[in-house]
Amino acid sequence: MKHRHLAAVIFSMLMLSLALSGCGSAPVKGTLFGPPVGKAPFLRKPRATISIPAIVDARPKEEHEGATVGTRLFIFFGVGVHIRREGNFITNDFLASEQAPAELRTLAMQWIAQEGIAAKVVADGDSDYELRLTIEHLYGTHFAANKQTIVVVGGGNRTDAVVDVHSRNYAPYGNVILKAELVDKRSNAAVWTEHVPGYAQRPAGEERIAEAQNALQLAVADALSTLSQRVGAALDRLGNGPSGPPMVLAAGSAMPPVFAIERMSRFRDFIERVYVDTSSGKVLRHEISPAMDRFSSRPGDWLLSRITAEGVELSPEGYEAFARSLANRYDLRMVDDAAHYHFFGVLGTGAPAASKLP
Amino acid sequence: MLAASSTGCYWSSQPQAPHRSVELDLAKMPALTIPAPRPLVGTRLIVLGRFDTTAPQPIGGLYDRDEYEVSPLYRTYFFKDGAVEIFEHVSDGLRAAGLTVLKDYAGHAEPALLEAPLRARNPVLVTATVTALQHDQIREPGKTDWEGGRLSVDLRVTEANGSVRFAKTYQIEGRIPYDGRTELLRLLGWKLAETLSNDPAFLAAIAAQPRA
Repeated sequence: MKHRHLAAVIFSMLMLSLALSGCGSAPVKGTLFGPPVGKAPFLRKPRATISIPAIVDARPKEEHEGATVGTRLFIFFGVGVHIRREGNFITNDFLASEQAPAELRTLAMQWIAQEGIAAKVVADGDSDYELRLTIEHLYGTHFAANKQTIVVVGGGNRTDAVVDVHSRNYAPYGNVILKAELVDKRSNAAVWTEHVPGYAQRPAGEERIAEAQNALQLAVADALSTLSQRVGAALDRLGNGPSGPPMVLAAGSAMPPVFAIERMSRFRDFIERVYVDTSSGKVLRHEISPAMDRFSSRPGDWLLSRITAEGVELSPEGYEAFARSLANRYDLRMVDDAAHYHFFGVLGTGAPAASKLP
Repeated sequence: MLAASSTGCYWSSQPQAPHRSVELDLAKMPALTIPAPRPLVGTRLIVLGRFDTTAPQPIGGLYDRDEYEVSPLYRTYFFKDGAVEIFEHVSDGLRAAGLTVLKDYAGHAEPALLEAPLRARNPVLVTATVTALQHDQIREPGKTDWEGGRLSVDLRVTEANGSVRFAKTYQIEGRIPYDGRTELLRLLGWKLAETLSNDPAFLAAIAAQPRA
């Protein structure tokens, strides 16, 4: 009789502890739709049209099947139990999205259109470029570790249970890796290929599965924001991008009356741009605006901007001519960035001073 | 018999590191010293494309293997731009070797996107994808503190016309004593540059050779 009572206590404590070591509320079906689709905070002049065909799903098996935190259970007959849970939770198709490729395609079309990267974005049909996407990774995850020891002490007409619990909460993460390829449909040649990552972190807490799902949604938004920037930068390189038609300057052009220098903020969020009067070297205007492309240059370095005082993007040849016309008075050197001249001030006022462009 | 059959251990073997991270075994890892890329002389301009990445988050964690109640892993770290930081350090290391390197920040050194003024200089293009990047802080038994890291990079050298001259995967790993100042990612990046400067096949692909 006493043993049956002890077993009942142990069983109750075991069920309670297993329930307590769970992951918060009951899991709900996941979707990639969540955060608002981004919108360009500056004027865009998109011209190209893009189609986005069905997205290829190349995720590894464990990101479809998911994983739960493993449990180690040791039962001491008549005395108690020791439960140890440790390992990685990974979302499965139900918790991430059962329609991940289709949802991602819809979101990619919305992001590219709303960020002003292309004049028209279609699923199929006529377009200048085709943006082919492959999902290499897409999951929410968190690490987990906790342990509980339940010791039941029976004596006389009473039974006591001693419970020792240790647990630690870890942050959930969202991970998305897309392989992106931009194909020029006129030549059917890939003009740009890159892996585009999206990451997010959520606070550690009790609602770990829900937060892993949130982290995944945020990671999808982060990946599509980066994708928009990268596709925009590639189209700009092709002279067909959202910065508008590039201005072409002839070699040997006269010095422009005003030029701009710029630097990326430390965390790549903003561009600081300073407009300078060419003849006097005086600063005319100072602007801080969101960075169109987080990776367009190295943070902190002053560069000769590729934007004119009128806000027009210079063509590569135009930029070269622009730099050479300024080089009689200003110290400009291509020392780090293949697409920009570094700006070192007025010639002869700093050391070392360059006498000519490399 | 009943007691014996009712007593038991039931378990599943679980990793002790976040998904797609590995448990770093410091005893098997080489010590990272200040890398010294070999002096080189090159005849061609190198355009190093901004590294892209397939590596996961968290980038690493703080492990205390000396004293813990639940798990050696105490916390995890998020660092979104690790691949770009590695890119900067590899570039610095190659320059320290004596090579002329310009960085393609806005691009991935994609041959089709090379602008005409740069193409006219006939550069050789180096692109790289970071496939693993991990940076852990680890306290070993005896309260000795370490930083450990690993880096895996798929690297490719192409001509401006798109023809591939060279492709190889490089893996760098190592540990350093923790002192609060050493930048592990910088060491990993420079170590990759040092490894590249000692790889004859890479040097042949970029038309460089050891300085006499």
